[in-house]
Amino acid sequence: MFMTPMNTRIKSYLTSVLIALLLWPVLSCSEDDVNKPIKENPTSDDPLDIYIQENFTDKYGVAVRYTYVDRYVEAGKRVTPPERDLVIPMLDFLTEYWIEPFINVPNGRKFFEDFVPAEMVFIGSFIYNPDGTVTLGTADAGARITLTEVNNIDPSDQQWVFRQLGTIYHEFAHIVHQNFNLPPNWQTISPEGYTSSGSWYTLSNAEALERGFVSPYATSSFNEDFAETVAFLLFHPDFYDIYINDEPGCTTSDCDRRNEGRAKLRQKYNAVLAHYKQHTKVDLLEVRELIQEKF
Amino acid sequence: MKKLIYSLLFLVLIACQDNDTNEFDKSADERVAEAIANLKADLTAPDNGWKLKYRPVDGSGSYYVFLKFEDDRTVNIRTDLGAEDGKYFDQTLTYRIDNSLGLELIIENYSFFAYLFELDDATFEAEFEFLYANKTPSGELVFTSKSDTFIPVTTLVFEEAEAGEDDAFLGTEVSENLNIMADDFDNFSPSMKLTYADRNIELYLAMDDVKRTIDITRAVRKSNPAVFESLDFSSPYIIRGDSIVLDNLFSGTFVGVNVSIQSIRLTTLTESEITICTDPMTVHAYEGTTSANDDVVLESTLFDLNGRSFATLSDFYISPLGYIFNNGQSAAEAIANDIHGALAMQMYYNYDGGFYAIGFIIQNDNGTITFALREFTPVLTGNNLVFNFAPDISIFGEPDTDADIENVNIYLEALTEGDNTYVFELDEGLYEFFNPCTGWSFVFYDAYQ
Repeated sequence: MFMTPMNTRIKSYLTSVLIALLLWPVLSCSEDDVNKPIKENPTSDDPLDIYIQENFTDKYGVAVRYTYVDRYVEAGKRVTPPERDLVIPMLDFLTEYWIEPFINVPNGRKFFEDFVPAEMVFIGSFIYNPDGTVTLGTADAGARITLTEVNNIDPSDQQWVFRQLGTIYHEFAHIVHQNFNLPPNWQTISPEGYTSSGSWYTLSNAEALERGFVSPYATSSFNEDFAETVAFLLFHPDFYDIYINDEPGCTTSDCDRRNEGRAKLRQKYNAVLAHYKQHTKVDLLEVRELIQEKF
Repeated sequence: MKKLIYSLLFLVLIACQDNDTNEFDKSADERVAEAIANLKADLTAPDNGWKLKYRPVDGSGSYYVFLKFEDDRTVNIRTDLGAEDGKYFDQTLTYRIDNSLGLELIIENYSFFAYLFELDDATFEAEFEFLYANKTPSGELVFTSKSDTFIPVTTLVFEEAEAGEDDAFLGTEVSENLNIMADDFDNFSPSMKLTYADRNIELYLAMDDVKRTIDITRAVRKSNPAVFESLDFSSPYIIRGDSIVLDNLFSGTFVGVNVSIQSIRLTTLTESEITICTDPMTVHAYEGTTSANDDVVLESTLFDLNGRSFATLSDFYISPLGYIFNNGQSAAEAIANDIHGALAMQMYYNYDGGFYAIGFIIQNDNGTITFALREFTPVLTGNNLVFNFAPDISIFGEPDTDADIENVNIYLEALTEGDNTYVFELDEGLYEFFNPCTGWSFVFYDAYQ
């Protein structure tokens, strides 16, 4: 048969009809399955699972996934599971640096319990990407936070601690804007500073600051800017010196540009604090104080 | 086409008529559960567990692995991989059997398998998820890798282990002793020398005790080291009990001596002291016998003549701050603090017809570049490089720098203290400049590559 554009379209249409017809019986004959019981995971008798259930899941409503399940990681990315012996120390770390600072400030417990993600996934290694880069942590629509580098746990290693806290506070902040939107006028504070898709990593920290952002990654979108600002506000010991307080007596244009960036960051700082107070009743400065006491 | 549509409509109409007809006695879920239970029963059946000769990827060495699966989802894994202080000699972890496209066996926690999987930023192509393939007529369980990205994917054959076989096959003592020897000088490219007791030959070699490969690079006449022969022999190996067994036979006449090695049985580790630094250093020697029945001694050594090739390969080398290590730990942060704006180390070696200098390239706050270099007159003996520095640091580029230039000497001293800089070839165009007395390593690459 000689193929023309017209009969190509007809064939395509008919193919669609055939596929729809072939699927229809499958879908339409499933009536008997409606009342099938929903499968439930059997209760584990693994002592580690029991510990997690009693000390984390029952207490805070967070399921902790520490055994390897490939669907928790995007296809093509390579990770290793955590060491069993490091799961409890990691939970202790999260309790000390994330849960306790939030639940020990006024209104913090309710905020935490209402908005804590349902699931945490522990990865032992980095997430190794096919292009040779690594990913430090991810969040999935506020429902799941994935923490990497659990096998490198070392609370005395400030860089490791900052990477973990940067991830957890960042992802927990996403939940706030997902529920209460961004602060009013957030998009108008540094609109020219955002980078085009996928190019944030070409910026240096200094360039990000000059644009009014706490990090290059913050320039990637309004939402990431909000989450990064909250995370840095909470964990960075030198947050005020680097990002908020102007350098006095500037004599160079670089210094002037940094202070211009800080003026924008002061607006963001005030907007973040007000937004949390208005919608969550939590004073982030009180949370920051409890966190900073631990360093 | 009309006929086809009518036929399909007919099929649609009859599709719901035999709703209760099931080609199988059991539902899909029941059949999956049964398959999982059958595999679990097979895995847990042997009294002594399973023996696996595991080669993660073509070209790597192999490992004997003994696995004992239990009903409670735990698996005991015994190996002789000596990495991380023997952590992987004996581990009890959890496993899971899943069903996706087929049955999968997953070692759920970080294990011997995960350690190998993560090597080289998880590109080594080891695996900890296995797809069940089949059970052979002789009862072996065959799995394939789920995560391999190259074809052919790794095949793993679980053979039923016999009583006591694990202790006979696993060479944990050999593995531990080789680790001890690799730590003698604690550099990235430990070099070894195999000396024949009764024959006039020494072999220089490098062993990767994780990937289990051996490279024999040079044969030297014991009575006259000036007589040598470059070699290019590589082989994967496996440790079996007290022996290193090569996959490929090393055989031939070198510096006039005919030798052959298929395996080396290692017996006694001894230690001694050398005094090249202020404090004596402990080094080790491992006595053994080759498969050709020659008595040999395997020793760690600082001498690796391949390292001296840097002098002729290029005249300009770079070591980024991330390539500089103080006793195995990155020194990048300390250097950045001491030398404001430091970008990398540079070494000019016979550059432009006779310029020898080493130091740092520095970016000043105003964007200008300063080169803070110390010129030197080299003396290269074997792979030992003595610098003979000029008295002062020379400044090139922008003379007005924000960095404290004198701090450059901190790192030059770490590199050259006691004239004990030894150069090792890590890879083509990549060299480790190592000082055993300070423990500092500076990894330079050919700037033109």
